[in-house]
Amino acid sequence: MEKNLNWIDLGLISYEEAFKLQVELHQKCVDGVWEDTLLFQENHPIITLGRSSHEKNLLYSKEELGSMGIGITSVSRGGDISYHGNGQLIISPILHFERYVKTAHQYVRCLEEIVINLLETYHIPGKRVKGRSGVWVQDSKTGEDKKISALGIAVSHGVTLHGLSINVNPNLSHFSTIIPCGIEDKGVTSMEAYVLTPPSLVEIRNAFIIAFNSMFGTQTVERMIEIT
Amino acid sequence: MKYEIIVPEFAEGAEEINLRQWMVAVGDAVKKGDNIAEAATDKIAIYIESPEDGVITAILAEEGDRVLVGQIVGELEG
Repeated sequence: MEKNLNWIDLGLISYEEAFKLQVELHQKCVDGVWEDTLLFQENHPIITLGRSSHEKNLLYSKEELGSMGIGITSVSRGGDISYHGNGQLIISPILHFERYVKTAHQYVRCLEEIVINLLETYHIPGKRVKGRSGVWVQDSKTGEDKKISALGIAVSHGVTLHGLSINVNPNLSHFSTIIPCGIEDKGVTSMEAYVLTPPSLVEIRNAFIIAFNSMFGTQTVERMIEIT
Repeated sequence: MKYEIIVPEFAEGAEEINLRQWMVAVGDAVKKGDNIAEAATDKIAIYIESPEDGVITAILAEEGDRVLVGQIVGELEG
């Protein structure tokens, strides 16, 4: 059976504006008036607090973050605290996950595998770390595992929202304002650290679409959407 | 008729999830499919839906409890 879904690239957009749109698309998907969709975006710098977040993982006050040009907001996804900003591709699949896998847990595992496969095409050895969410890369100099892709999804009425981020070439110093995902003893890295010339977010978006289609046997079509 | 509110299978086999928040209380009227509770792991936030139209009659797990897939966490009368 053919599985078709859309993809939409919102480009550089505020987290709040993109999330409002994501919620609208999610409801339309639940109501059956919109197809499953991959939503891509790049955010202005912002810290998001997930449903399992702890205050101790935020290392600066809201005012201090504001002076650095970093916003802060609470979100409906699973997981702890996370940072989004320029140079980071955010992917939010809004889809009926049971069309592709049996459980939400399997869906998350598949998303991780997609990222690992994508990184492999750039000769970056992504991997899972037992007991930790997301995708990691071992630092060749220190041997330390560093997170290159964070993941946290929500499922409501059988349709997913939120998703994952891939650090392409973000400002890594911004991650020092939090303990990412509440994991104290692990650092953060990006694709830029492993390639001669960092790819564009558009290139990574296209690579993700290819890897997603390969994983789930889907065909994707670009859709345009008006942001009001 | 009494209906049970059950933690859905978000992973194969029994797996724990943190019951984060009840969105209803005993005595509230709900419709089938309404989100009535929220649960989360380190990667996934799920909403537990009402199995039928009815009135919530019992809350059997507290916010912050670790609950298992398949566990009965509430009841409603439909």
